[in-house]
Amino acid sequence: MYIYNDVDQKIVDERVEQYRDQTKRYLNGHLSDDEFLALRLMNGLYIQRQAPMLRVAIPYGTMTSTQLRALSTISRKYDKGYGHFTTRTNIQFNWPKLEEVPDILADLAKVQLHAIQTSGNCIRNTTTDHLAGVSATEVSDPRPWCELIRQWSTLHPEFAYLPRKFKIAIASGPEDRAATQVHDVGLHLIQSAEGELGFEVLVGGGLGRTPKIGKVIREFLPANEVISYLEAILRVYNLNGRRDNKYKARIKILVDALGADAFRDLVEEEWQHLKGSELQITQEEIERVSDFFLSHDYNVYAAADTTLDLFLESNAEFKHWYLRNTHAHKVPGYRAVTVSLKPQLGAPGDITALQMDLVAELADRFSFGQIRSTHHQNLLLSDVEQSDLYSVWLALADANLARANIGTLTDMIVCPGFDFCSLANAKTLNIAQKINDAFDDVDYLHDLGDIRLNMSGCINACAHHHVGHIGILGVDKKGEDWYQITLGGSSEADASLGKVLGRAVAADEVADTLKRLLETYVELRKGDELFIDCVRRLGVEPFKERVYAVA
Amino acid sequence: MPLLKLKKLVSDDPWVLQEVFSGKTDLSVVVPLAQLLEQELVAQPKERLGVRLSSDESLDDLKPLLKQVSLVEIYFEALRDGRGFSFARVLRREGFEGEIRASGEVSRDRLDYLYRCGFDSVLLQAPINEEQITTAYQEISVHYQADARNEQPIYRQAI
Ligand code: HEM
Ligand code: SF4
Repeated sequence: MYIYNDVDQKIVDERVEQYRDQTKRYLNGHLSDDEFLALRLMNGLYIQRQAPMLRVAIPYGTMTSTQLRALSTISRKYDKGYGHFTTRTNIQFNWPKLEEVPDILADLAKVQLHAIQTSGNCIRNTTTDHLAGVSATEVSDPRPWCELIRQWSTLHPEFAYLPRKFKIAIASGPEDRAATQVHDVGLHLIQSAEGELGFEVLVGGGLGRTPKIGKVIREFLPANEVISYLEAILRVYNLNGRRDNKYKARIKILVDALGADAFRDLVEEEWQHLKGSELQITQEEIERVSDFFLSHDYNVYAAADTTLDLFLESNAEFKHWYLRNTHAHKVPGYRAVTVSLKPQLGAPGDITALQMDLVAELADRFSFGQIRSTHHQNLLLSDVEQSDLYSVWLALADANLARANIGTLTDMIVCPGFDFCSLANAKTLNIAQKINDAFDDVDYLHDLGDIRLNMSGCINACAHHHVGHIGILGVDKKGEDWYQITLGGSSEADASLGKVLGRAVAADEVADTLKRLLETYVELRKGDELFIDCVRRLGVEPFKERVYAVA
Repeated sequence: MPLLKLKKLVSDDPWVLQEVFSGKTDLSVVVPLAQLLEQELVAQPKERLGVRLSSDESLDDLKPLLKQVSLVEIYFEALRDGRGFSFARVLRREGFEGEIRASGEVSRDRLDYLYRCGFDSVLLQAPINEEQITTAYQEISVHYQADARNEQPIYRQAI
């Protein structure tokens, strides 16, 4: 876990005072609405349907227990006692008061957190694999690179007024758990034939109105040139991206208009001026930052434990949870544990102050005091000894955080929709609830296996519906909420965009439609073929026929 | 309109904007890029010629003329239009050593970013006092990035 030095601390502290001054000037009329809008957005403050909404950055999804407790305290002190984790691993508070935001930021700064560039047309929080450092297949730990990028992008003087928002994600190896192909820039850690560490660089991915999969513009970038190369990409984008139409302003539109080759040429030309320059990251700095992410002091006897097997044999509920909610770890005898923020009742990604405190405590007792947020809107305890799993499960279950549904249909990614968002076309939380009610049979869910369901309340695609195995998009038809369903999307290494199943369905038909869809899958699957593979093999047609035949 | 030059308010600025270039003059004139591109041979001496580039225009069109001017004014068309920041950085990299001036939709909350990107002067639309100027340039006192004023990113700065 990266710990701030004096410079890091000074920057967030000064940023708090800067923002306090901006808020004060706005409130006493010295700063126009328009000007303040741009400034507050760069600090994560939206004004929404109910109230302002503050988005706090969880850089690359890593937190300490102290930080999570601070978030809990903030939710109690300034909000209604809960928070909402997003697909970009940040946390949102839905009810802060505009005048109190500077105080919230000051409280955050005390625990090395901030809301810098969590919205606005600037470089956002860099996200990565939630199994960073514990996955056996990773090429290298992505977190040091995320931190280096965090520093470079924080208050960058040239790139604060980009044509549109800019999101970077890093994959740690061949498995892509960070949806890098649907980011403005995707970086894949790789090793060259000579054993040198570097990145494959993708640009122009993104969803929204014009969904695109990113394109490779450089097959190998030496890792220490990542800042210079990003600077080249951003400069080309800042100079050439469209500004006449905000729906055409993302980098994906520029890459498409020029063609990936011409875009690459521009970047490479710019990079000639930057590579090998002072921007090259020093070996010393790479080591300094990497040292914060060294392996924990693992118990070498962890795998000798025999109690886990006993619990697995004697407790079917625990076993369900173990199979779905815990994941392989590079160290024998350890598992990574997903804390499910997808309960039977409640909004996906929401977490109460009490739950935050509990997770912080579990992290202290069982997982080196650290917690991660995942882009699937869950939390993760990354390093739990197998002998502790049963205790962890009991505690999580007690707090309604152990629903054994990770990776299944009800582990939905859902945006806040109409209830909280002023851009929404339709509600999402009520539909999520209906889906939860319709699919409450654990055995059936487990039989259906891995299914990624993503639901957005409008075309902005905050929940990445295009890349859900099943995507649901809320649309407005003459004032009523309707839902368009897509099949076959994926945000992983085999990224693809979903195809529309057929006509949109009404709010009360969504759950039944999904039921018929999944019955069709159960009928048509071959052996233990996964849902996504079945859809890829058969295409949308057979599903379409059955789903709409009945209606 | 207050003019800031190297972080200070100044009142003795020689430059005047000439929307239509009327030929050689003793004044120090800033001429829109389009006007300058139309002139076959610019008789105006370099010391008294400036060019104004709107953020909507192309920096590439300006590059061949850089040797003939001693001031480039970059006009920000909109608050959210950040192209000017990159214009300034590219100009400095191209070796332009004259004055780079910001005008249009620029204000107090962007002063430090402008300075760091290589702007020497800023033509503000709203009044500003000494105290506000000091705060604007000092409120964030450390920087992670290399910029036009300091080639050293944080990991090469001696702190
Ligand atoms: C409630 C307030 C919110 C507002 C007003 C909002 C607004 C937007 C808008 C306008 C876009 C489209 C930008 C573009 O493509 O140019 C967008 C994209 C996005 N939002 Fe939100 N959002 C909100 C909440 C959320 C939440 C809760 C999440 C996470 C669950 C989220 C995650 C994202 C992501 C990942 C994208 C990028 C989609 C893409 O790749 O194009 N947003 N948001
Ligand atoms: S997808 Fe639309 S409705 Fe959902 S949060 Fe984003 S902007 Fe709001």
